[in-house]
Amino acid sequence: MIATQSKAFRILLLLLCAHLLMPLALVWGDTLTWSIVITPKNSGKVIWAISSPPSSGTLVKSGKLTLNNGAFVDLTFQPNPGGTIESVFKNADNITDWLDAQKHFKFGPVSTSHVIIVKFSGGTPLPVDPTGNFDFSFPTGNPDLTAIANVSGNYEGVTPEKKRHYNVDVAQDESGKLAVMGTATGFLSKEGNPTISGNIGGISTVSDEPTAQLKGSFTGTRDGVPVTGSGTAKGPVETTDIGGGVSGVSATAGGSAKVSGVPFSIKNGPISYPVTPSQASHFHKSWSLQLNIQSKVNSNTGKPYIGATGQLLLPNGDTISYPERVVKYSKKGYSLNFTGGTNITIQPNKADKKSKVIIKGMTLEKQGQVWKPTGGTMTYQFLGQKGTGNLLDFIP
Amino acid sequence: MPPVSTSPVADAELPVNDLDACNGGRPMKTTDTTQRRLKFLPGSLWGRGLFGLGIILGLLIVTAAIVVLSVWVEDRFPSGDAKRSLVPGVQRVITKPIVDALSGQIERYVRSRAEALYMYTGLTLEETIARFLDEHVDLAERRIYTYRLASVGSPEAIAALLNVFRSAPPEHKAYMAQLIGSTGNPAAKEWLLPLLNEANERLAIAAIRGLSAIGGADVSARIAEILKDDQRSDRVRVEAAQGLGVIGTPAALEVLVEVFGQVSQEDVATQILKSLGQFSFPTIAKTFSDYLAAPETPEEMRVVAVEALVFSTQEAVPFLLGLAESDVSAGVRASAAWAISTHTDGRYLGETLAGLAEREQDVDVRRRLYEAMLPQVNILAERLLPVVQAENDIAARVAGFNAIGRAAGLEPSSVSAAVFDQQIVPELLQIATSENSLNIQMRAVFALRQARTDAAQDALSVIAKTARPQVATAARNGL
Repeated sequence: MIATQSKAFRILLLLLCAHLLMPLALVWGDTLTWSIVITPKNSGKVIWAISSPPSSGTLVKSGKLTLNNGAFVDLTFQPNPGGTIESVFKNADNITDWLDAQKHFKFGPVSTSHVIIVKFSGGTPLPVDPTGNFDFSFPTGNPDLTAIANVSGNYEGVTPEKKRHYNVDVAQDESGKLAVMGTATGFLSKEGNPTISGNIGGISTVSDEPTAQLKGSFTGTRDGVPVTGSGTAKGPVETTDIGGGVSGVSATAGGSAKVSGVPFSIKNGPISYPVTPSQASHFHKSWSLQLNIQSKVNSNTGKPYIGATGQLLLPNGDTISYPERVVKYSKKGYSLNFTGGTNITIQPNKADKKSKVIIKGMTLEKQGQVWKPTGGTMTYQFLGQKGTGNLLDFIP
Repeated sequence: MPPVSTSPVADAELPVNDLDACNGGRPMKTTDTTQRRLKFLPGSLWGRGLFGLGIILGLLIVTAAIVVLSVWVEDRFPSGDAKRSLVPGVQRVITKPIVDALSGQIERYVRSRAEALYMYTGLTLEETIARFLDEHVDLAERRIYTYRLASVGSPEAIAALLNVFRSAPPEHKAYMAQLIGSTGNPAAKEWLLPLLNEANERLAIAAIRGLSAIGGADVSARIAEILKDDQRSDRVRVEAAQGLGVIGTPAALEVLVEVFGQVSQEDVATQILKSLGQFSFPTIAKTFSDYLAAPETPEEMRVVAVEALVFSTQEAVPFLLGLAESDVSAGVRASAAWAISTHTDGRYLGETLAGLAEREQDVDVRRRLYEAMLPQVNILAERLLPVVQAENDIAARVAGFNAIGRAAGLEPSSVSAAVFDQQIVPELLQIATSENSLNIQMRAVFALRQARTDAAQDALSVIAKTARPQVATAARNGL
């Protein structure tokens, strides 16, 4: 009985210890979150630096810091010009008197989460609108982002199966529509001209990937037999390994034709063509956006405002310039809508109706003296294609 | 009256006794008949052999003649076209089956050529299986063999295929699923159908692509369910809409039309329109006509609808001409004109298009109308010249130059060809060699290549030496 009681007691003690030690174990084994509360709103800022993970920044409004257990936390409290610090609390402890001359305190090594509440008074609120130059570019190596393809250029080669030589020049316009001109051994245009030319379809975004959908008609010979016909092909504008380490494009093709008057049709036939490095060099997917946000003064009214301009460099080398838009920085960040730009590569410059960039919820944080985007989404639409992605994925 | 011999051999030479002997020496009535029937045959074995060969040759010639005649008749007077067929009933019974049999043979041949890259890799089937299973080789390199194994379909091939396919990482599995489907092997449905419910969208999309290439009522029904299911992501539903367009059956058309009337997601609606556009125009005319006429249809979607008709049949052209002429939206008119430019069978619209270009107020529409003139045989260059020369927009101007260049190429001694050489060639040369958009420069070169006049060739020589690489290459290709 005693033994039983003793055993029960030991189990109880063990459970109690486990219960008591659990939070400690969690604390030691996890990251910590410090909440910084600035009150009242827009009354000052808190400059912070953490030793682990090494990071720093400025909070202009209440926010949270995430740090590793055992880290040191440097906090500097700065009221707006003309203002003062009324109090700084760590949880329920008033630590105002512990701040040094620079209104700074170093905590650590820290092992628990805390709430720091700073109360400023007086002072003139500083404009908090983040400004600066922000460069975004499409990361061509990220398969999760929808690419925009430009395929203008020359494609010369030999077909794999019949060794027919082809030499085709392609022009892609601002809405993704393709015009071609070229020759292919054994094929003639409808009127018997060896040069085949015309509008053959275009490139659009299908299931988040640039997809070429083409059609064409031809006359020609195959093994000396007259052939006439028309066909369509559809496939992603993307090179993949088409076997044995050979890079190429794959598509499905269909169409109807007549061989010496005998009609036949093919549906969903697989086609793959090797793509030479020279041909692949014409698949352009890189593009970039230079965004400029500046504090300005309206020359008529004398009132300050924030103006945003943009320059979009397309995969085909054209630059679309977007004139200034008045923007406002809110809790959700900047929302910018660039449409109705001007193609400044085309001479004389031409209004661009087909390109569009929409940025939503672009939040920023000041790191050192520079504002850095911390969130948002970007929707981009040009060359007949479109995509959407996390803004941070476009930061070089 | 004695029987008249048709045989070149005398009656006395016929082996009558031999025939009688076969009947036990008893003279029979039938023997006489047979005898009479065979008496035209040569008497000697060689003679009969040659006679037989002659008969076979004759039959072959007659068969070939019937085949050629059938092809000729079906080519010029297709039995499927009620307006053109000569004797529909007879054609359906005689000429059409013959042509269909030939078509089947050609289809198989063409498909085998298309499959060559996948099927003829220089390896035997056993070697292919061994290589496919070799885990020391990167799966990106060996996944291509999926096609051959699925196409061959032998137990060993299928076992190897499924062994790798079922355990492949998603990105490779998706690629393989599409390859499996593109073989058209109906047995593959069993492997692909479970992927339709994959949480991984990439796999579900690949399965839809693969299954729609195989087709069939069961596949069509499953994909239709996905399209109708608003719990599925837009991306997957877009693919389902695309798949039904690929399947292209009346049932698929019905589902697309049904869902189109209910769907609110723009991406899905866009793809449904694109898929509907792949059907023959008479089957979709009402849907498109009603949609384009509805006042609540957004302009952007009207443009999508019009451009979808690029992939419909030639019958869409009159409808598109109507839109290009009188639609209230410039965007729709421009798209209709561009869609006309891709339909190259009806090539006698030059005058109509020239009239539209003369009356059109919007520069982008005029640009597309000029492009639509390129496949025409009757480009009215003299009428176009003043309109094109008055264009301020560079893209429209170059498109117009292409139409005039083409006319100059067709009629090098015309007035417009002379104007092209004197006034337009220098401008095109300047566009191609000074700073401008690549698209505009390429099209400037195309205009010179269309004309093929001496002045144009001289300009191409200069461009080939001085322009940026892509433009220079395009110019060089025209020399």
